[in-house]
Amino acid sequence: MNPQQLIKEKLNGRLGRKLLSSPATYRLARDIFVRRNKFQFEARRMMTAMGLEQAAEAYHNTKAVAWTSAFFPGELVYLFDLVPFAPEASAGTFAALDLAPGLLKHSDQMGLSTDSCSFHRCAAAGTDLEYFPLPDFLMASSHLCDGAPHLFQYMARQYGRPLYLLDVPARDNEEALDYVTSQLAGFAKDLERQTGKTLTRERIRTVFDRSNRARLDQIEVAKLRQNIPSPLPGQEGLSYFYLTLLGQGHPETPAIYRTLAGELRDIMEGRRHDAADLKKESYRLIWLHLRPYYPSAMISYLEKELHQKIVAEEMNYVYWPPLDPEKPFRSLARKALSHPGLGPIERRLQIIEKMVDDYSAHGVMHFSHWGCRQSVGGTPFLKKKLREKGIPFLALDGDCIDGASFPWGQALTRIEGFCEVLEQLHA
Amino acid sequence: MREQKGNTTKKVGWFCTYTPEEVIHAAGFTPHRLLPGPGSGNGPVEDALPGSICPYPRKILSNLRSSIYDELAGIVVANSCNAMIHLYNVLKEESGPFVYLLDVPRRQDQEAVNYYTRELELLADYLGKKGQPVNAENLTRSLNIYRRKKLLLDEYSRLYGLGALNQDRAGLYGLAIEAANSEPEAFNKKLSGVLEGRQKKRGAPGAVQQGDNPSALLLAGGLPPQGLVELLSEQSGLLLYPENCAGIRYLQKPGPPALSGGDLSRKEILHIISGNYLAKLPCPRVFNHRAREDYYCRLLDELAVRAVIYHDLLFCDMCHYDYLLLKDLLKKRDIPHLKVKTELGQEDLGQLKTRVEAFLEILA
Repeated sequence: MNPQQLIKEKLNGRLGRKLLSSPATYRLARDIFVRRNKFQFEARRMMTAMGLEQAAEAYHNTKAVAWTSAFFPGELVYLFDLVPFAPEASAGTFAALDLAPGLLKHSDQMGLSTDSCSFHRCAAAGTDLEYFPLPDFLMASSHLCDGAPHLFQYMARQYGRPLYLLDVPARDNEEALDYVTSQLAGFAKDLERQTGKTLTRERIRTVFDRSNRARLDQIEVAKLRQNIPSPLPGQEGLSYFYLTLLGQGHPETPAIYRTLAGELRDIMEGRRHDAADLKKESYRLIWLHLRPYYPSAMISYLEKELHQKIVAEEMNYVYWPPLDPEKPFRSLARKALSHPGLGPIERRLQIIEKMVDDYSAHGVMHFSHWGCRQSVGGTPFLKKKLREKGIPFLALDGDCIDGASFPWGQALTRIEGFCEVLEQLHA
Repeated sequence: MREQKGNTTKKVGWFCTYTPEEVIHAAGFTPHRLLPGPGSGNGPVEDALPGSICPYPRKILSNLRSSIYDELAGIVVANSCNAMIHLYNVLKEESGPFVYLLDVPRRQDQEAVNYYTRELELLADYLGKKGQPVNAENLTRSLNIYRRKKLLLDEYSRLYGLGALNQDRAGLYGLAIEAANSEPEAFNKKLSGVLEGRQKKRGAPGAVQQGDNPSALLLAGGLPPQGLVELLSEQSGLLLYPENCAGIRYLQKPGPPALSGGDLSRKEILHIISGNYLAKLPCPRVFNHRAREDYYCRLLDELAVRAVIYHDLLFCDMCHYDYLLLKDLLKKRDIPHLKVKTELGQEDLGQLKTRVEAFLEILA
């Protein structure tokens, strides 16, 4: 039996929860798995080590832990030196470790509808079964989905801990900016009271500087990927969404993106033995939404067999302006309001069209995660509008967490059909 | 001048109960809540809205494509959920009537009231260009009509709670639907007549006197199909309280204050409307789970709720999570409940009937 299989079996057994709740597990994984294993990208190794250390810190319980939802301005967590923990991201880990089927079943027993997002169903079950580190604070944002703030309200009720819910309007005007700014300032004031820490200008400058440097390096990575051929496969690129979830304001994030940019330059200039392999591409795709987190051959088949390379991901798009430490809450509010997925769909469409241009993409693929009303609800509109502009679009129905809800055979047929369309268009 | 077609004021459709009917009315339109209605909304819409989003906007789109709602001058879509934003995206592309997106806050604090006031100013400006100017004078007139409507609805609801009315099949749900769909002055006249008629018959045999508190059946969860409401009204033998936005959450919207001409500026009036709407009984969308919990507790305790039917509307995240809250409260009080799921269609009702009847039998 291979070691990965052995770990999965252990985690699914009686000791699973105990193992997952122990900081030693994550530090051991970091020391054995990360330090000894070979990673194709050093940046990925650094990010994995950072993620495992974050998990270890969260379970260690020496510093206050903040549970956060996707797109909540993560810098606020670092301003108060809290340890972030993302239950939605944990659902991805559960799926990778084959724990998701059991948790999804448990969420059903809890009474949570099977129509809900499976990220959230797993997270709700993980909360109920006490898989997660104890939260000191919970923070969620209304963008982009309806489910997350309600999941966090459920979690806050279970733990009786302070909950900060950020209401981000669909409108992007001065009043919306004032509204979000005042909420963030209110959260900070309350966090000062709760943590006993005063938010200093120096602390704001430090955290914002990290976030701004990471942003610039992330833009640099994006620019490098615009080269033809692109130096980074989407299989790799998609994993960096972790940094958007939990790394904005973290001290190591700029170095990870900087390292990645350096590695991409090495590939482009042929300084790596695997450069030719990594640069292989027939068609260039923009990837919308996320990917399956359970073992799935979909993306490697797409990229390695069909040479349809994902050159950019919607989730890694840098949509926000630099943060201004002189206007900390207004800056974070601006960042929240800048998200292209907010409000009417034209904003999302514009960014997709821009990505198609910037990356010289041949087509757009949307992984339609069952349960995500925000992204899936817009697919007919996107399909219509992109086709009007002659941009091929494919929506693949599936589920990021629940492998049983992803009809792989059907997806394969559709991917191959899409490939034929691209071949005909570019023959 | 109010825009007229024959004797009918042109209608403006709306969806979410945070949409200020008074502002639509002040612009010279009749606010009209767009609901699927029994047996409607079955036309194909997958080309615009996928099957995995809430059936409410899907059915509305189908009805709009079939021109079921006539006399619509426009539609105000509130940003109440992801599904509604997607409906807005589609309607903007294919609707004949004008389409406007209203951004409704999820919080209830002063910052939210200020933000919503500005949203209402934008709405008033927009509607003013489509109809008549939404100025302080027109707003004051509309507010006074809606204040009268609120007083009448309160009186009707009070009597309903006492079991003192000859309830029709749809009860409070039917009243809320009619109130949300009718020209308000005509509705006030009609309801006033009903209440006066009841006053004359006071003491008639069979009338329930004040002080009685009949047991209640709470219908919670998402917007229900009308057939479910009728089934429960007919078969339960209990007073039906629809705890949803087409039921008591609509009827119990706070009434506007009495205003006389020239008292306040347009902005001040819109600020009052904003505060009023955000102060209404919290719906599951609102970021205030404590207020929602308190509200449920109050309902369960004050209405002498005997049992609960929870309508878990398909693909509605708000419903899915609100159930987790209510389920715990019911367990603590030992109140039985039945969770049912529908797509708002008549086709759901056959199977539902069997389950509901079995549940009601156990109660009996």
